[in-house]
Amino acid sequence: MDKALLSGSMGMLLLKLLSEGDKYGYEMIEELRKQSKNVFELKAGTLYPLLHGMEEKGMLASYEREILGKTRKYYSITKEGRRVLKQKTEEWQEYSEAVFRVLALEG
Amino acid sequence: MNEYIKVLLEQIRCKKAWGMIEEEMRNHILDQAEANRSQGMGEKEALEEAVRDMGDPVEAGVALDRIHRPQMAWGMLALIGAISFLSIFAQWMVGKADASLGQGYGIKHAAGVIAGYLVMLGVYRIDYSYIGKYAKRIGAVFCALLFLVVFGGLGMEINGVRAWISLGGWNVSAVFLMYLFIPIYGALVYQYRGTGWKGLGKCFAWMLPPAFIAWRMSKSQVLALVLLMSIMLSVAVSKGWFIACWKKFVAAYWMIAAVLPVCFFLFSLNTGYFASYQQERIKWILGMDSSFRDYAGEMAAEYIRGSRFIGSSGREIVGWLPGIGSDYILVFLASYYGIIVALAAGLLILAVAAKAIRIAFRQKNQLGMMMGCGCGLVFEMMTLAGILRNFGLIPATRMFFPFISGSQTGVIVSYILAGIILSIYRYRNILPGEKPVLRQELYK
Repeated sequence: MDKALLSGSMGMLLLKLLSEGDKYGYEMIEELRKQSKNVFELKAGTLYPLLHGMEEKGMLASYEREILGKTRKYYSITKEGRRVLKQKTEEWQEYSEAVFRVLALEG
Repeated sequence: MNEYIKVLLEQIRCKKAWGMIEEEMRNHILDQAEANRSQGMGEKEALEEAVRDMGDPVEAGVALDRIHRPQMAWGMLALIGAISFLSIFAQWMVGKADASLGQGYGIKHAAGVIAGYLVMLGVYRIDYSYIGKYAKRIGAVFCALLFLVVFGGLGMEINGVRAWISLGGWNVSAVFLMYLFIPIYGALVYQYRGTGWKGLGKCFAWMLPPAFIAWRMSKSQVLALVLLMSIMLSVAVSKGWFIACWKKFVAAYWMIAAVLPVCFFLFSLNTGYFASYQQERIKWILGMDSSFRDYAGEMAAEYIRGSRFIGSSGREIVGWLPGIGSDYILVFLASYYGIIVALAAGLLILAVAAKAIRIAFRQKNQLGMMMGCGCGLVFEMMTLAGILRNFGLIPATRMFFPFISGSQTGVIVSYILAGIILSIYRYRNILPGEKPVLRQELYK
């Protein structure tokens, strides 16, 4: 899939994943891949700067948890994150409906 | 794997952030390698594939470098800058109006403010997590030194109270220095995090040394310190640091905290422990019939009522109201320049306090949250008490108006507390968030 098309909406998709429960980085990549039926294959090198950036902006919070002897860094969505998710989802729906309408006209 | 992590970390200039990023990346690669192995790959191939899956280390490192760098709270710095100018202006005018303060009063205060600002910038550069690491030692040394000042030979007696330290001709008030214990207490509470009732007991025990030392200098300060430490401990308990049944504990604690001092003072009045002027004050505070009259407070309220919105009221204040450069600085500003100037000064300091608390509660690092909360609470309490005092609603106590009081110690303490808050903000994207205390680890 075209990278430019994906990068703008990736933050929204990550927020959506985290709105369903706290997750660590690897878990998010796997979940995204499964839910998108292998369309979104996010690289860790792209994921972590995105997560850290969203945490800086107050959309996410992070904490460490030890599971089976491994310390994992979990991310959770904040109130601000839920607000942004709602706004982005509405924007995306409006945009995609417009694209569909135009494509339907062409068809 | 090590090569990938090395290249990525080399792009990040702030080395303090390396530890947390390295751990996260390493865990990710190991998780991916494990998944690859479960799909039938060999050990070496699984790891190599996992590293390839990570993407470009330079690109990722550069992106992380943009986020993990020391930050400056510019808004807070601007607010403090504005207060510093106001402080120099106000005390300069106090010195000009009241000749008894001496010729160099305004210059001395301005020098104190500039020194304070530099101290603040110095504290900002220090990594506050060291205070957390050595909290018990720092707390013990701090209390021991102040004990020696108040009870031993280190202190100097002025106006009947041994609460002063002479440092090369500069008299430092031990009463005001005591407020520096509040962020240290925050670090101490953090140290006992996750240790249940035992840790909670130790947090209470740490309230005793500063309260004991303060008792000798100022009874009202004991109340102020215990109140501040109790609020901080309540925040920690409500965050689930010690016990699971925190709601009941906090409710019971504050009920006892409200009743106990009243019972103690009533008991003390009957046993004659307090001096007669203190007894009258306590009776007045408790709303009992008393001959105590807060003359200065009544006069302050009268000056405020007589002030104009903008401009001088024309009433002489110097020589009539004591402490116009310290306890009643807002009354002075209202009387000389109008209510709006006094209001602006009060609101500016309240804004610093609010900003400090906001910075604290937005911290993912819990030590930073607790220490910042302490600093913010000191500002908040001092300013609110100062405003109430200037409206004649509470009598003058041994407190200072943060940043603008004529007290040199008060000024320096204010800037140190502000420096700690700036340091917390500086490291907000560098120090990690800690493991939460799990419910099963707590005592029900």
